[in-house]
Amino acid sequence: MGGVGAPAFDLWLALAAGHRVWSEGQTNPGPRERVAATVAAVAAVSSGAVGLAGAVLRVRQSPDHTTFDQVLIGTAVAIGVLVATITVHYVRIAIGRPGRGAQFWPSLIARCVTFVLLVSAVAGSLSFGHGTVGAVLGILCGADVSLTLWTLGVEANPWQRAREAFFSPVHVGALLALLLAVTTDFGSDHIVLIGLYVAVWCATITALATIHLLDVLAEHFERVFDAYRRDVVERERAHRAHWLHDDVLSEVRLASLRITSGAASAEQIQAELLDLDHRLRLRQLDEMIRDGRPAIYEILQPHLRRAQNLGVRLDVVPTHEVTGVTVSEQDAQLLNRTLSLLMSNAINAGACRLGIEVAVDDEGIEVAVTDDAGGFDFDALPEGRGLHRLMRQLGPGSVRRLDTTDGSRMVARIPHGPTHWPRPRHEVAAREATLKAVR
Amino acid sequence: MSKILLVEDMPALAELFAEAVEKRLGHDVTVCIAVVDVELALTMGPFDMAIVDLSFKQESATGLDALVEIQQSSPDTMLAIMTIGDSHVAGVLRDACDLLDIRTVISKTAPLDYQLQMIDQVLADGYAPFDPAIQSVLPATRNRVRTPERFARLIQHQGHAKVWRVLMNHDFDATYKNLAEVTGLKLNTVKNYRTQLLPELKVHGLHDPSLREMQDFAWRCRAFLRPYVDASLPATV
Repeated sequence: MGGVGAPAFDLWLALAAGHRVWSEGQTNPGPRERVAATVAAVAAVSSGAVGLAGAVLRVRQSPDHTTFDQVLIGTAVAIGVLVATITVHYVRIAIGRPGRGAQFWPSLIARCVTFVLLVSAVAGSLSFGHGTVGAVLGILCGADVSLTLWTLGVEANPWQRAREAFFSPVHVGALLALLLAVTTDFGSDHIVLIGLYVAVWCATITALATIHLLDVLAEHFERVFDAYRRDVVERERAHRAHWLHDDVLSEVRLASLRITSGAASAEQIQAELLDLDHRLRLRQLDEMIRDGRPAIYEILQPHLRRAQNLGVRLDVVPTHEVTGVTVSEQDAQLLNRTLSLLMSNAINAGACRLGIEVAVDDEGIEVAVTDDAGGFDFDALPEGRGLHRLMRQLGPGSVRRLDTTDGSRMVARIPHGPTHWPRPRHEVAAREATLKAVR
Repeated sequence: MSKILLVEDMPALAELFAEAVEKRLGHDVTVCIAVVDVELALTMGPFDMAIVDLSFKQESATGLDALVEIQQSSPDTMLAIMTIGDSHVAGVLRDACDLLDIRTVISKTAPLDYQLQMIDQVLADGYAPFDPAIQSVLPATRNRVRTPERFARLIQHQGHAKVWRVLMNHDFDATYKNLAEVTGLKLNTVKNYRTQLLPELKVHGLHDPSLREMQDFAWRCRAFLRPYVDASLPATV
């Protein structure tokens, strides 16, 4: 396979080493990868099933059932283990949770051994139909090669590969040797040889056809995604233009009118501009939350900036060890609402200093806002107030107030929503390793 | 009166801020609106303090390049960052705080009085606490293991230098195939080089990174990587 600066043999080795070796950092497989992995998994299981069916058929045809029963159990176990070994990686990709990367040589050796054993076990258990099993294994190889080629960034070009394979010295030599053997002394051994040759070609053609079909499918996905993206971009453009006109420009216009009419002082205009700045940041945050999993610092920042601009001193703020954690859309909405409410309440009560703390664990997010605003009677909180609604939303006992020397410490616990999922173990381990290194 | 260099890509904002510093603090401010102009601006030094923005949309550069250039040319200049501190510049900000002696980080959105107070504090005490709004994107403590000299360990031989030289190009499509093609290395050799670098990359906060993540890192930290790459590779390689 040409097209790579290194020798073609290098690419064959890369393909034999497999997708896992080259796919580090790909935590979210796309639709084409998922389809190819599903095809590979189904083909691997099918090849195992064909092998088992062949073995059962042979046992039934055999007069000596005892010996062949043992052979059947042995074959079934061997095929089952091999198929499971091969399939697990594809299943993980198909469900969107690929495993970690693998080393080149160990992966290459393990895959080659597993594949050769599977082919031997399946082919050995069949007395006929080698072409069929060749075709099934071809689908498996084709899907596997497609996954690796996409990851490497190499163009597949299956028909050129077919021509190259047909006219390669290895194939031409083998074909001539086979023809020579068949024409000089034809016997039953030669029928087996011809059967194997046909099976190999069935596998090759099916593999190339699979690569081609998966490439066509990938192009289709690309086109659909492009169309979807264009549609989203157009909608977003219209949406932003509308918002810019309705919210931003009208607010700016209002400030401009106030300045020219002299109805507002410079301080009032500055306050309005600060308010506009905050609203724009909240709008930006809404977009981030809607886009997926925002980091906690993205949710925190508009509120910190707002407090700062209102002249409040921030004594304590959480650092990146906590704020770098990403949260689900639902958790983000609740966190935003909680921060907004607790900080606004403190500022409205006359706080000059604030301390913000955030902690995240497997159950939820805990937010603590400490102020110097004197305190209030938490139990006498009238119904219908923002804090009351928040308490109802977060659940009983989720918001509590503690007295401090000159104010209050409000603590709210946000339980993780149903869309929360724990971070993968290796991500947690990586973060812990970084923290350890820093300490 | 102190001399301050302000590197900020928005001319109107830079002029207004410089005016405020000059009028209210009485310092002499030189404004530079592009990273490429920093070299020229430094000839007007020496400066007591440099305040550098991190995002330069019109250039293929970041504030980190400017900070490194200032530090190399004028080691006594105290370095400060003035940034919006959003997720877009968070990586560069963390790199700068780890790898350089940053005396303070000022939030662009903080009230002017507060910003001026931070500048005064740096000039008086040599350090001012980072703006709390920015602190939330930074770790609690600086990663002391991570130093500019540590980048030497990312280039253990010429092969690594070849890979990093390509990855420092932001426009390069970082796939194994392209990297093998451009460097002339075999696919599994590229893979092996990446594996060899993994323990050292952890020091820089990269845990089992993809090639694209390595490329982002190389581009961001190219000011620290390039000297070692150039030393390892003759110009013709």
